[in-house]
Amino acid sequence: MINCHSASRLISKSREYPLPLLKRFSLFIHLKACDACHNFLRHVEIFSRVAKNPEDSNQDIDEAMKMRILNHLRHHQNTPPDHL
Amino acid sequence: MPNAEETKTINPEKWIDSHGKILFRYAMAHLQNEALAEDCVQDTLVAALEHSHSFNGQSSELTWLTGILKHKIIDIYRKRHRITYENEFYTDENADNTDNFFDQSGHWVNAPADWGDPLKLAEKKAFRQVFETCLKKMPASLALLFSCRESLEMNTEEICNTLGITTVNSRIMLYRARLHLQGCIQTNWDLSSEIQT
Repeated sequence: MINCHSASRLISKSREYPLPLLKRFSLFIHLKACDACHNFLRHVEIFSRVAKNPEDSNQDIDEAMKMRILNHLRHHQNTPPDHL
Repeated sequence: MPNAEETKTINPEKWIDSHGKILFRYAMAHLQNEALAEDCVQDTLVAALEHSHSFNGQSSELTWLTGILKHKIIDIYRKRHRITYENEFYTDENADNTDNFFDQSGHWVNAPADWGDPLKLAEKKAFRQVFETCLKKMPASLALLFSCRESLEMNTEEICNTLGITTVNSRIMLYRARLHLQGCIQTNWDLSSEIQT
């Protein structure tokens, strides 16, 4: 049976690509018997969830910001690129 | 189907009106700084203007703009952390420098505990704060890679191209990043408060 070090490595890899059947099976067997690695699996999913949904800011682009950006863009549009 | 005429009429004001809000919020969510987020959106639109010929109409305008924005955010992450990868290269998958997390027989030194309902946890402000702090504490190159993968949802190929690392490296580094988060959060997250609420 694989140890926790190997199991945790497989858990992380399984987030990146589908594990080969044999590895998936050995991880499955390990997880059946190991609470710690089972928790790690759940935590890795939590990390992903928290990272994907950063707190929504209610801030919005206001008129002043829009004008600043637009002015910058217009200026840029009218300036020929340096290398020409 | 957008025709040639349509792609020629570049209208930045229309971009700001239809996508500005989403782009700005996206930048804010990842940078947590209004001035930086504004610069980022501005730089994105400048780059879009310069490369408007590369927009082929296959993806939506928003997807295209968001793609550019992601790269601008990564540039800022890079500057913020002054990333050097020198110490983070691994060629051997088993030499992943995780000795301090496991004992000689491969058991956890600090076994991951049950933190409670994952769905509830992810919503908790206090937990998010611990998470953010732990992300800042880990080696900068690991944090950058983790953010590219999980926050910006880049795939392995995009990550390798953008950061100039190999697939093997990126997997080992992501593993280390996750172990760091596991260890740091376990130390800093007050489980007793979790049980009370």
